[in-house]
Amino acid sequence: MARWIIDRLIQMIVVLIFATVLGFLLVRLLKGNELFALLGDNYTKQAADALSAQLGLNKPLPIQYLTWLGDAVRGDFGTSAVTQQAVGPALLAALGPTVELLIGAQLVSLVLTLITTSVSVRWRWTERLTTGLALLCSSVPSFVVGLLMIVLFSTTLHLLPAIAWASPKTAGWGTNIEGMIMPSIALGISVFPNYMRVLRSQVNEQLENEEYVTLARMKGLSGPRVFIRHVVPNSLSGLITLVALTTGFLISGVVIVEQVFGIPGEGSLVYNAIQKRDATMLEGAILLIAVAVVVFNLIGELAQMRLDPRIRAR
Amino acid sequence: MTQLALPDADLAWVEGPQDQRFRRSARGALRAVATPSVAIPGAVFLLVVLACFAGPALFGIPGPNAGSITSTMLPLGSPGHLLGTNELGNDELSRLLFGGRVSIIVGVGATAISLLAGCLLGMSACYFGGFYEKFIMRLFDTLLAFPSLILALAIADYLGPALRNTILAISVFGVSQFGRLAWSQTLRIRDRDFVVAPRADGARGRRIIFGHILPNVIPPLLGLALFNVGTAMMMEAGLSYLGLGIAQPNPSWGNMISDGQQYLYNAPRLVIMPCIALVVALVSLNLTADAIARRQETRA
Repeated sequence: MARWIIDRLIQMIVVLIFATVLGFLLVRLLKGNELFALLGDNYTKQAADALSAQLGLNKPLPIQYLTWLGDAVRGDFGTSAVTQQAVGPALLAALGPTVELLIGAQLVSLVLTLITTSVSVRWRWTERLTTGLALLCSSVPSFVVGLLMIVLFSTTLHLLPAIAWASPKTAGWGTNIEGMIMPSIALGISVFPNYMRVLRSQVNEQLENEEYVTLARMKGLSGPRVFIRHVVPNSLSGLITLVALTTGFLISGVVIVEQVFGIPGEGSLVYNAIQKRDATMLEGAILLIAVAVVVFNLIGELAQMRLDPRIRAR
Repeated sequence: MTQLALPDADLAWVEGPQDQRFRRSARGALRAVATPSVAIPGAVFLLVVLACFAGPALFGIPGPNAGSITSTMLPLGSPGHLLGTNELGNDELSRLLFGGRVSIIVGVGATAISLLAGCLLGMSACYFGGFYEKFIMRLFDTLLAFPSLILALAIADYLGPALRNTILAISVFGVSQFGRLAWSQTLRIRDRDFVVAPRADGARGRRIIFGHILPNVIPPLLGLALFNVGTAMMMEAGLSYLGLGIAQPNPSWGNMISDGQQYLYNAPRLVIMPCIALVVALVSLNLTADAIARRQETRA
């Protein structure tokens, strides 16, 4: 077990180093354009040279990378040359809306998963129906769901605000949550099919193969009771792992939903950084997201080991 | 190799002439397609493809940018413009069809590139092993952990919004998925007789990989590819929606949606129509892929 964790940690670090190198190279490709963004259309060579010396761009790439990495490890992600913002605090400020959106999306998809799974277990004939629903949901891009919801609930029925984000500090939690309903649904719908597939296959396996189900039935427990008390808890391990994996994955997937609803989270930050050729900001964001993905992957695997003794034994 | 254990039918199959084998496998493939659960959504998707590629020429629909400023924002069902026109007077139906073309080309093109790259990397990693394998597998991990949309956004932004660049940017995503599948499939057969025997016979690595491993690895990869076409089309829509995919004035379902967004109150059809087109194409494609995958599962 301890060996496995150490193994995993080493792998994680390798992946993170790869990711930062890749991110660094990627934004360096854009970097020539950062001068362009700062200096405008027709700049002199002297001005460009002076600026790249000031930003440390005239040093060789490996040195630049190591300097950045050294600073980043110590918690200093630099200052954006374009907006003059410190990158660390900016990333932190954008984290709030994104975390809220992720929690909302996970809630929506978990509720949908539990409902569809129990319905399809209780009434077998609905199985194809829920499968179809899941397929439909996984085929519709989240921004399409978002826009259609805006058409329906905002411009036609005037029930919910189309521009979602309202800071809980200034507008209060009620307005804030009201605004997050549609984005959460838009994002949640896109992940729920995977959850449903995993939970349902595990539930079916339990119902078919496990003797405790038969025993519980023989003792006279009603169907729903067996399902809720015994089958669901035993089927959750796969789902919990998947939720952890998906959370990491979603952090980079929120760009579009945040754009649709105007939420100032990590996705918008990344989008703006790319548009403004803000290299330093982008490097910080890439590191943050890569760390999140890797950490959530580890959490997922650990959770699975904790919950399923059969895997721990291996 | 023992052939004793094979039933007669299989023996005839193994020893039969090449063309007969081909005819048989073709018949098998046909049988796999000839069920309603595959054929119906498949036919819908093919209809969409056909409409996009042949429709404009067949029905004499005007070009996607041939509109005139005198006929802007015509409603649904206007004479000559079945689905109306947009804010520049361009025919919506035409833009929808030409946009579908782009979407399908990007989906298929990006999938082909990621299939090729992933398959080669995954197979060779598993076959050659050692440090090379470790390196490639960590590379796949990185591509999965790396914020993939950012990768595509940055690539698309750096290369500029154009069809070829969009295909390239989107193809990067699929590589690790195909690669991992190719790797695990190769692992399954790496030590089987038909791989070990030619190696003992002195065959080169390249020949073994392409002649003996590839035919066994490719079927599940093709199954994944069908799903991946849908995913790539979805990403194209997303990228174009953000303004980093296909650029104006060329239509794409994604950029049509983002353009129509400003008229959401007055003319929601400008958003709803491309949304419907996208959903119909994706749902029919995914239904087909799902049904084929199911049939493969039950037969295996």
